[in-house]
Amino acid sequence: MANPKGYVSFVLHAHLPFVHHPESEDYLEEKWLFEAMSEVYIPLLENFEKLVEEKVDFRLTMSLTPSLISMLTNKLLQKRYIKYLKQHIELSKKEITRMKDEPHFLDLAKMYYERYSNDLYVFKEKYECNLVNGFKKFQDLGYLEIITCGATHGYFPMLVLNEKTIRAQIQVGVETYEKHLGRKPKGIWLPECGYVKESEKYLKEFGIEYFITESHGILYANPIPIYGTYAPIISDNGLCAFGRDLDTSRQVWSSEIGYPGDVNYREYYRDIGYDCPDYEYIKPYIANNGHRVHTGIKYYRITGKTEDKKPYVPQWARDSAEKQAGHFLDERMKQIEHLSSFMKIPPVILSPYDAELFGHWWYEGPYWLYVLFKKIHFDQNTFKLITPSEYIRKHPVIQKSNPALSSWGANGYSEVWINNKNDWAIRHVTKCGEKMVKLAQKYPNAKGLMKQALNQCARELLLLQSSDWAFIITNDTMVDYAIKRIKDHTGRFNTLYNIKEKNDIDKEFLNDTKKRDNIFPDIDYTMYC
Amino acid sequence: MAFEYFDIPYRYNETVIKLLFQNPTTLYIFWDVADDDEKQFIDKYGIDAYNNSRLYLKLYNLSKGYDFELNIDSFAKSWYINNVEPNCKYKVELFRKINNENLFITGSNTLKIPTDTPCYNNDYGFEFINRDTNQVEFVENINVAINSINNIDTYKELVEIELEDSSIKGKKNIKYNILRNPSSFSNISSGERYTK
Repeated sequence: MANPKGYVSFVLHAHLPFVHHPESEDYLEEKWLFEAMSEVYIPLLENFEKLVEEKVDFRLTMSLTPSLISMLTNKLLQKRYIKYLKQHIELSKKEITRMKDEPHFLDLAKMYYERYSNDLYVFKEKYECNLVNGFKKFQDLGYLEIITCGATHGYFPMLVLNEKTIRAQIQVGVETYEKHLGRKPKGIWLPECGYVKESEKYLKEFGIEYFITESHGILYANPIPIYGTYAPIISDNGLCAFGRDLDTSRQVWSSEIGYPGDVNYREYYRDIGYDCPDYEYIKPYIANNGHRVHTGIKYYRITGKTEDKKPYVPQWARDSAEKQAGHFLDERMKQIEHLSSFMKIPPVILSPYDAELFGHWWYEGPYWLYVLFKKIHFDQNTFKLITPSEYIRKHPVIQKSNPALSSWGANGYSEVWINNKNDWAIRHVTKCGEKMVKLAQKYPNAKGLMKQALNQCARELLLLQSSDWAFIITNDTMVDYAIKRIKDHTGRFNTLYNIKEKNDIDKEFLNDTKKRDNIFPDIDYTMYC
Repeated sequence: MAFEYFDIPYRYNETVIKLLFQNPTTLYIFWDVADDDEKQFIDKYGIDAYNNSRLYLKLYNLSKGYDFELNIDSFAKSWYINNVEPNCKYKVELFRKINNENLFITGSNTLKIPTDTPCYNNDYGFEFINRDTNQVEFVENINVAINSINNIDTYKELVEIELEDSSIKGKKNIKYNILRNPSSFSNISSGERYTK
């Protein structure tokens, strides 16, 4: 397509907090990673493969956060994922026997058996247990642009109390990216799209060219962006900002009218982990403490606003996904035709989503994306897919405007991370940040054991800063776990800090802590100097 | 690996006050006063005076040049201040009031808080620069911008402002809805990210 009238830029933000418990296999929270690998990352990679084979010229931007990259490349977690898959293969095989007299559920059980078996093959044989290499492959081929994020997804509007901590989040994010992807990142997904002006100088220092904000980060920019979110803006510091398109967000995201609510799609909340009446049968595949949990094997479709769910029919779900991909395509064509009629520069519709929506919450999401990308390539000539960095290279004339303070959290600012459920933690995050800077400045040339202790302090601080803990507390989900993480990282940091002050390092405690929180092996505490 | 249990300190025994924003009209403040500083006060004024004194916050709107005081609970270590003006710079100070004397304890960081409305400015046009050369390529004037904005149907539905500038009064009344971000309110993925 020579001169498209405009562009659509899909951005998938793939993030999970660093969950790594070598001391026990009882942590349910580790499953977040394994579910995402099976339901999101592997299906996306398989679809990228198909698109390339079918000669579809697609573009997609993905942020792989440093904490996620750290888990995907962690040997222990890779081993545990293989165990997870083998358990699921075993379970789905048993389901084939259990469902032998129910032909419809039998077909679904076979579907899961094939799916988990394929996951094992793809993970072990195709990508040698490292999915990051899979994403890297498609970036190197030119289809995917991977962007970075803050090291542990620390929320910048809160970390702004100590700018060195923002800088450290960005530095470690960029360095982790470079180590695993072999090049420097051009873009960044600001954690929670939390934009503060103070972060720009550090983004520029580390070579970042653009970032993404929530819609009102652009719509409330100064001066007013005359093209709204349909074009990026460029700040006084020379950084480009792209804003979320509200229309495409609603169509996919909205719990009222969004695509994932289609009645033919798989019902997330009907899982055999809860549905299976034989507790002893399902016990080996649920939580180690015997609590029923999701297994990933689900047999029902949404059906409608009713408790009487009907069996899932994969072909009907695929039909819905194809219809919705067609609808999305038509809407984008109309949107871009309209915008291009008066904009002096080509419009770009930026459509960012949590990657976990595609496959975990919305089982058919990866297929929808696959069909959509094919339709965009083969069925129309109005617009092309593009990545943000491609756009600013092709179209460098951009309106000068400074983004507005904003986030993509509920209500658009900091309420998710600063409220009366979780504000007690802010004092500790802030204090540990101050202490880290003091330590780094006091011991700028530490060696040996002292250097190891200081580096571990830096790791504990980064893990404490993860915005996920405050988020979980606000949303009342795994609250005890989030509180424990805040206490553990504060406690480990303070213990090491006190040891440093007394010049007496407990080697056993240090080694223990390094094994538990072994993120960012190349970290250098002097970044806090 | 050894079993671990950590409890976190209730406080760090230092004199400090910090200012953050929760949203464009709500500030969050947390503070502490070191035991030594409290003791100095008691040594100087006596325990009775200490018991009769009150802590209060003084909030400064540095952008608009006004300030006001808030009485706070003596046992409080944090506070939310609601209904502040958006898009302004603030700082806050902690005082102890004894008789008619205001004793400064400590001051906070300065913080600019977000705006909650689109920013209309008609002092100059809207510059488009070439990011490769940093040169201005063209400037859209407000009338062109208004035409563009008038044509952005979706933009109009979603964002409403009443333009007060006299130069365009009487022209087509452009209204934009107060921005409601549907994805923030009904974000099924973020809201249920960790629901198990």
